[in-house]
Amino acid sequence: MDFREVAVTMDAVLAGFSIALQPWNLLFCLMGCLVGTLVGVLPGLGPVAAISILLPTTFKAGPIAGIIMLAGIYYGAMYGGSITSILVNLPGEAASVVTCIDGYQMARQGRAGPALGICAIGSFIGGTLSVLGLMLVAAPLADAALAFGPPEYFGLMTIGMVVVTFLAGKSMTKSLLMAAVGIFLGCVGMDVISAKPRFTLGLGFLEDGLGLVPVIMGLYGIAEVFSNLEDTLKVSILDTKIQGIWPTRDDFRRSMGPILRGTGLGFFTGVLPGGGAVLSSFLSYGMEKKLSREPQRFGSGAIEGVAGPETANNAATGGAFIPLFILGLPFNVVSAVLLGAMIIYGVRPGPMLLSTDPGLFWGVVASMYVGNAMLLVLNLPLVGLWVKMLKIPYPLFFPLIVLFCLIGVFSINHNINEIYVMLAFGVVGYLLRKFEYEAAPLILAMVLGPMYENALRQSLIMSDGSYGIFFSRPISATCLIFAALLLIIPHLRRVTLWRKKAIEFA
Amino acid sequence: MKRLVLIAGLLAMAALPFTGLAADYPTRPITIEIGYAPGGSTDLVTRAIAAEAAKFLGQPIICSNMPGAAGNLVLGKIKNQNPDGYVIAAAPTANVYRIPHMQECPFKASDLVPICEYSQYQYGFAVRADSPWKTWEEFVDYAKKNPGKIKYSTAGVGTGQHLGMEFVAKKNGIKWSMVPFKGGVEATTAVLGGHVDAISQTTEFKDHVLSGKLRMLMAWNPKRLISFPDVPTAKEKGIDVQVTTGISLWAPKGISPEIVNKLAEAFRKAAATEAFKQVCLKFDMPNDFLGPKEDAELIRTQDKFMGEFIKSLGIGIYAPK
Repeated sequence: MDFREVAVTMDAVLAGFSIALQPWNLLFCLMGCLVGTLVGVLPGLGPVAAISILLPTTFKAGPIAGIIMLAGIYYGAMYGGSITSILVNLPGEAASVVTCIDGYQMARQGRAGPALGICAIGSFIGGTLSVLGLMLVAAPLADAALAFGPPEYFGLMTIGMVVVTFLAGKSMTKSLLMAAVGIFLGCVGMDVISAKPRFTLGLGFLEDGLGLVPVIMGLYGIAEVFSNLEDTLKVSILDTKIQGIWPTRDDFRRSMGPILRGTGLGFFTGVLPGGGAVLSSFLSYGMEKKLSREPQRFGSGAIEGVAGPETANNAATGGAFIPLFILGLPFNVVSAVLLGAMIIYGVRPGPMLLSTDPGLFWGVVASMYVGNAMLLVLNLPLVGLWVKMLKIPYPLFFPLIVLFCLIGVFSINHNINEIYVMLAFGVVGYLLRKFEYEAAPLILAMVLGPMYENALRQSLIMSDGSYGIFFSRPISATCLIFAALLLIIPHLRRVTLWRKKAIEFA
Repeated sequence: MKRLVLIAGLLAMAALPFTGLAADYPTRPITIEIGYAPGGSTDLVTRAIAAEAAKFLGQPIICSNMPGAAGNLVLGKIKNQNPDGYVIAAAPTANVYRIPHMQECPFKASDLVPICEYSQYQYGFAVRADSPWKTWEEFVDYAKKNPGKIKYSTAGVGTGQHLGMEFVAKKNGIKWSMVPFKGGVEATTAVLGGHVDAISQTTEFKDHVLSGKLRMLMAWNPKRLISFPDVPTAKEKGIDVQVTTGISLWAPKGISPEIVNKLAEAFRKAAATEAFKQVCLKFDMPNDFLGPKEDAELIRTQDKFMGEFIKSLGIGIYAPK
């Protein structure tokens, strides 16, 4: 990068800050962080449901303020999730699952304060450094992304979907099944290549495709209410006085390594197709345990086991914005919802976004920097307040969630049919939960499906029908081979296990 | 038969009061339903002309948006409105003469009456600046000698910019293939990245032509573009096909010609105002005005041409099942 390029980037970054610091945008950033922390704290309600439910309320605010707020919910939830993990031993959202292990133990030993403190500090460092990383790589990456044509997109999406199904849930068969259903749902509507309506059942409103927001609100919002009506979550908060949030010098000494490693790990996992906050937190925990000189401390309240994963999941959030903004590809459900939101705002993410809409890109990036600082200020002194939130009886939330969903879905297109779609998917989502199917692969495949199909068909037009195009181009070939390996390897291991067993029997 | 007579009678009765009121039209505010989302060029250009036309009509014009199905949704809705001139729609003219040959539409051309066309979109053809083709002739020459080699991007099958290219191919015996993308931005990215050789699209690629990454070889619009005065038009190259489309105002059939003329006159005056021209300039949209007769004539001839041409390509509603 030569000096001129650095200057141009700096200029854009400063312009971004001037946008993010406008009172209007600051307000939306604050609201996003507050709502995000809240849904992170409340078990069950996650960032996906919160973003889709609140999406319609941002329409009047304009795209920049809207995306700033939705992004705030995303990384705010990562902060909030840790609070519930530590105090209640219940992950507030999926990326905080590992925090429960050592965080809850720390709380039981009366060290909830330092555990929460190191979460906030680690999250701040991870979040901030990953935003810095985003700033540094965005511009050169956008230029490089031009080399990504339809075959490369096809390869990337293949690997993304495979990794997501690979990681989601316990049963790979079930998540592959969900991904298949998602691809099918994504096919509903006008076919881009032949301009013909498919699977619309003759219903006019389906010609534009099944709306992503009604489907998500149904699967995450309404279904959440349904399943909670059945059995209300019993939240028992550890009755411990939270005192001395500031970690001790020893805590800091132990945590600095995990925090820095977690930042790097989280950022790169976030960028990778299929990676994201959840994966990065597990990887970080595993890595810290391996690297530690006293691995036996893990599981009984090691602060490293809290610092690393909590940093990593926040850093991953920043990393995940790279494929979303630069390639227009969402590789986790939250990114998918954000992409849906951007399309509703009329913003087209892709390699061109940086040149066509620099204000939006850098404004949102700068707001994430600002938001991370806000969260640090909010989290340390307000922990007590968030804990009180956990005591609000759930039944008070349900009517509000249903109301928000109903009004929200209608306000997007003023189409009553979308309310029916949402309610139908609410029932579907409830059944999926009952039978332990993950909704995440479905949503992701539904968003990626149409792009996936287009990329495949565009590639084949480019190659006059030859599938060789996917293997003659290095990026797509690497992606496809890696995806194939991911699908095959688990079976190979099973094969060897069977073989072992067979040998034992013989 | 009896029922038919009854319906005809009711229709006649329903039509009576409107012809009577046409003389003092408009006596209350007029609503324009715009077939695209707020904030886009279609929306803002329409709002600009409506603001001017309201002054000549002496009644306010309320613009609201009814986006969906690329402007088809609003036309399907407007055909069922009372044909009294108080609710009209704004949508691309091609939605009525070209799109019905591509897909099932919630309306027929005969359901709608065009009031006027007031603004057009800009379309162009461009290649990468580092490509060997300096002129349109060189490009066509290469394509003729290398059948099947050229790939170009557009924002979809059956768009004007696609049909224009296939029209050229048919006339010159060229074989090239079109790679459809979801929108103009994606189609531009594909040509910049070298994944296709050329792009035929609305001039969303303008910035890249100005920055020297793309070379625009031809404009599809009938007149040279204000933003690219040096780029020759398709007409100058002897290509006689309607690629471009404009935005028209639409009323349900049965509207009295008197009201149509009143509206068209007000919009003709509005189209001549400096305020409206400035907005068009800002969005790179030419602003040729077509009155109701000219607009209807354009729709009639293009409907016939597109029907035959799209059928000959075997796409759209004529595609083999």
